[in-house]
Amino acid sequence: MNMRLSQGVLCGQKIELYNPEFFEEHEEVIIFTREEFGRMYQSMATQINHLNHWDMVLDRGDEWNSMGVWPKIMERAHILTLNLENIFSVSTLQTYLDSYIFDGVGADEKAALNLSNEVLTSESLGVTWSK
Amino acid sequence: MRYSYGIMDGKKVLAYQPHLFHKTSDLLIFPGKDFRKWHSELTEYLDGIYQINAQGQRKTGSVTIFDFNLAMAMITLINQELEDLFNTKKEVDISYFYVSIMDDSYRDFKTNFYGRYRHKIDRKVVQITPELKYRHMLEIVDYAHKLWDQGQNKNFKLKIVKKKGLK
Repeated sequence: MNMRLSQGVLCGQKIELYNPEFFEEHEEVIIFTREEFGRMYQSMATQINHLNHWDMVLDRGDEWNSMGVWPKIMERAHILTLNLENIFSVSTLQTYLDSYIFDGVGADEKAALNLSNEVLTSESLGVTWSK
Repeated sequence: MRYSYGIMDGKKVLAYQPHLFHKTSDLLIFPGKDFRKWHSELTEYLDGIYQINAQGQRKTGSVTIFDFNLAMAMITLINQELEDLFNTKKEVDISYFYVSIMDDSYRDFKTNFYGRYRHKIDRKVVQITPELKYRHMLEIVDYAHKLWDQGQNKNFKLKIVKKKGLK
């Protein structure tokens, strides 16, 4: 089974899908708003980038160096956990605000551009993974 | 985060809580089972990091390079999961779901503050000279005097350890 997802818009009581062919009849689905999901996703991507940065700068030759980097890693892991727990909770996070300010300008343009595309990617949520 | 479950009804989705969403807002729709699987995998990896942390602290009070590499492996897996969320060719294995039963106390980070004050601590390393040793000894004597003084008021005795050879 492949990972499937689709965008959609609310139309009365029902939601119209862009790609209804991905889903089976009477299948249970879960619905998020694109904006909120994008913020969560972006915040997680930021934490991962920070972690990769610490990984790169750490000098493996000196073991005592890891003592200083480890708390920072746990800090980021904590934010990742908060983001993950936030998906199924009603309260909002501070990182919401941070990523929102960072991404504020041009977010609507990106969303508008993506409406013409059929396939949703992580880039359309404003995240670019460094390869 | 606002979310609602729903069910496929023909080509549309019947949402259980449509009042949570605006008419104009863009929505993302995932299959419920696949999404919970994705969520549980990320939780599993994060719990792994907390376990490495707890294990390292129990053993030596700090983590080693080996623990560090293990944690980075977890981070790489999380990274992969995040990237694969929009990969329609990715196979989803829903044969098991991870349910976190980890105690919250494992998530509390007991820090020795070395990371925060690293620069201050490392900078203050001084060379030990005979003079410094003498000053240090005097500090101990001062401290002993202080304890002695307190002891006289509170009927407190200094514990003097006798050497085994002397009688």
